Amino acid sequence: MHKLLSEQRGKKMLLLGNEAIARGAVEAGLAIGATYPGTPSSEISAAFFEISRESDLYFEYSTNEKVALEVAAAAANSGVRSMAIMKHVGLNVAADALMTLAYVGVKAGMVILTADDPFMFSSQNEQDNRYYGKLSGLPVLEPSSVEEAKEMIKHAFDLSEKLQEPVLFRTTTRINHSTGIVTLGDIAPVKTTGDFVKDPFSYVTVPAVSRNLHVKLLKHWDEAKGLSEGSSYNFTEGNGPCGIVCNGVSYNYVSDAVKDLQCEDKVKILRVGFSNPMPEAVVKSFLKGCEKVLVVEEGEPFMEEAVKAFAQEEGITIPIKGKGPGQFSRLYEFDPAMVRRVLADYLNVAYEPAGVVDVSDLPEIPQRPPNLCAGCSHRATFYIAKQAAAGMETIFPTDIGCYTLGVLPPLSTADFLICMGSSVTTSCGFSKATKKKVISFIGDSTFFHSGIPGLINAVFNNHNFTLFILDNGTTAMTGHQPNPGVEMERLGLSGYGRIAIEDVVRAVGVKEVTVIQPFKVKKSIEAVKKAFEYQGVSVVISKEMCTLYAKQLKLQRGQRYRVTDKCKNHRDCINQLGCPAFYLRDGKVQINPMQCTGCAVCAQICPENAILPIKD
Amino acid sequence: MQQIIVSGVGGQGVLFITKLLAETALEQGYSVLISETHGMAQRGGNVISHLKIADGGSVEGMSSPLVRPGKADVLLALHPDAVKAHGFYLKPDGTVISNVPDSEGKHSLNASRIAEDLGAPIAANLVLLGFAVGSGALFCGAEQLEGTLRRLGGKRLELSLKAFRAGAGEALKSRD
Repeated sequence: MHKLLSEQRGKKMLLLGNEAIARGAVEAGLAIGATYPGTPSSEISAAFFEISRESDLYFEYSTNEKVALEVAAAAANSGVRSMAIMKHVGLNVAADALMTLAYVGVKAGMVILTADDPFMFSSQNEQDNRYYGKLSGLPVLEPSSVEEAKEMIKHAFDLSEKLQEPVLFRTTTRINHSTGIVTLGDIAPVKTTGDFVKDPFSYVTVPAVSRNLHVKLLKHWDEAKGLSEGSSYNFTEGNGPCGIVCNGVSYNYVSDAVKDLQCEDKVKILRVGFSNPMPEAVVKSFLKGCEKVLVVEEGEPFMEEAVKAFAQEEGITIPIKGKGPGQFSRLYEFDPAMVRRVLADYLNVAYEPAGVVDVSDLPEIPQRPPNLCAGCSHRATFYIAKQAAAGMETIFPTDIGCYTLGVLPPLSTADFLICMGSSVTTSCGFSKATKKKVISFIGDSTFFHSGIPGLINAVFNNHNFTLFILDNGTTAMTGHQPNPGVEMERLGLSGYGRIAIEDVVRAVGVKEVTVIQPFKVKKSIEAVKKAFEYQGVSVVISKEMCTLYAKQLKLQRGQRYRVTDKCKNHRDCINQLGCPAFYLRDGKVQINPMQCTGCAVCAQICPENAILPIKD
Repeated sequence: MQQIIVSGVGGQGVLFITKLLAETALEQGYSVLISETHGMAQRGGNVISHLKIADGGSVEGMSSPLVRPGKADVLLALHPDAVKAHGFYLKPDGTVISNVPDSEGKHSLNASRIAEDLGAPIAANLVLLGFAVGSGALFCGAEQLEGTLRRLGGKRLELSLKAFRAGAGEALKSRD
């Protein structure tokens, strides 16, 4: 049995934040979950995917976040509890659905989990999704710890049902990827099937209907205000004259710092866990007892602006600080030392940072940027593309996935990236606005997610570029989740459809389609040259399974390679491929047999044919 | 209360030994809090985990999931670079247990070499963990950690146990 299905009420378990969230949803009787994977939310979905194989939970990897949100929206409007899980930027993709779903509302509880990523550990921006609450008029809940996350998810479902609106559950990486002790509660029975009752004047958002629905949303907003006022997730601690308003993981940094600085008697803390709508009366009464206030929140001054507005309404003129020079930054993640320093300054107490071990005498260490794995098929495809484009002036729009790591030398095959699907669409723009050869890269999962409309646009408007679709048979970057092109039978699962990328590409009207096997280097280069010569949209589908996924499925090639005495140290292998299996010993290139996966790409490009298989 | 930083690079098993330590602590009735940073770890980047262990029930001063600079009691450095990269987390009188190619002193050893010699090159993390617990640097004893390893060890359990014990043995040697 999956550990998150344990019925041992009261049992203490060590769980990752994301696992605690999944358990909370199980305890809440979640019936339908949908996602598009994205760090730092991915482990929630991974848990649901496994749980769904042995329980009544229906869970799906949807093609993108908008799809996932709409699947969940329909379920919730049929009376079953649903959840859509995504990373913060995923909510941008789903925003169209979100904004009008707020008008329509829900019948059963629906939770939309948005996992924000301050510091951008694995994201292209660090947007603060609390503003989506404000933009859509939906309630936002934010936990401060792993244990609280589990309880708060259950509350989110109840809140959603009470308000008849979806609830945004906002986490940050530090909650998703922390591990703590969680006490298991009872698992509610799952209501797997509901009913949809026709009521077009509530559900079909033509202007005449939406005008009424907006009125309803504002009524719900007023109810939400009342619930936020009374929420036990918005609480105060202490009675001192110096106010501190905080949320999420910052609350922990504040609590520890106040104790450590021995300032408990100086401060009064307001922890906000139900942050949209902000609890107006709670904040106003909090302000009245304070000489000054500091708002401690990662990201944007979301609470700070609200607190200042409330103060203005009450004619309160005490200093309210948060973001600014000498205070907190809108940039990156907070850490306990930084919060302590700012708090000490705010409270006028001495703060000596702890002494640290001096490591300045140790030699500087090289940077370790993430790299494509040894034996990664993307490396071969990039090499092939660059060889075939030799002598051309090129622009390489790229996309979101492992292949974004082609940005670094020696591959240098990424010139422009904004979001999922942008490789195809920016290629349209670049090829119109410049005279350079535009060659773009997109992965299989990203192609299904949002690449297809761009490709249709390219065919319709007759753009001129070559798109590589890097089909490695899985959604590799986020941990090998399925996508519509994946052979589910390999995972022991049946009952899924499977969409062949080549069929899609031809069906949308691309005339020049080339399929290559990137580990056949010479043959592929010749095929790709032809694709580059084509005037119009050409697509190269590069098919080779992700090497980590192949290992998981026990489909590895096995034969490993070594550098023989024939090596004359040209170093084409290192300088053009940069595979992490290479290393230098006494100035000579060697291959680490632990890392080599036998792709044989280096063996094919060695001018001396010096790289040969290891004979057992 | 003990604060431990485990640092290495992707693939070395930082998260696995963190889990072993945490489960052992939970078993012993301690409170545990962990935070991991592993953005694109599987692609060779730095991996660090912060581990806070406190007496049961008492979470005083340990609600933050991150260790502050200068506050770690122990740094388990799975990679030679880890000391330079994350040494600043250590207390001035903290202990660094490091895996280095040319080991000198009682708190470092060539765990990678020992693991290779055992035919289990990926078990260098367990060699180092065995060494750390054998050196008396950790909140728990070797038997307790071994018990957790037996529970969570999986398919390679025998080799893992060998590696762990080899590390612990080295610690005894360096004590003499």
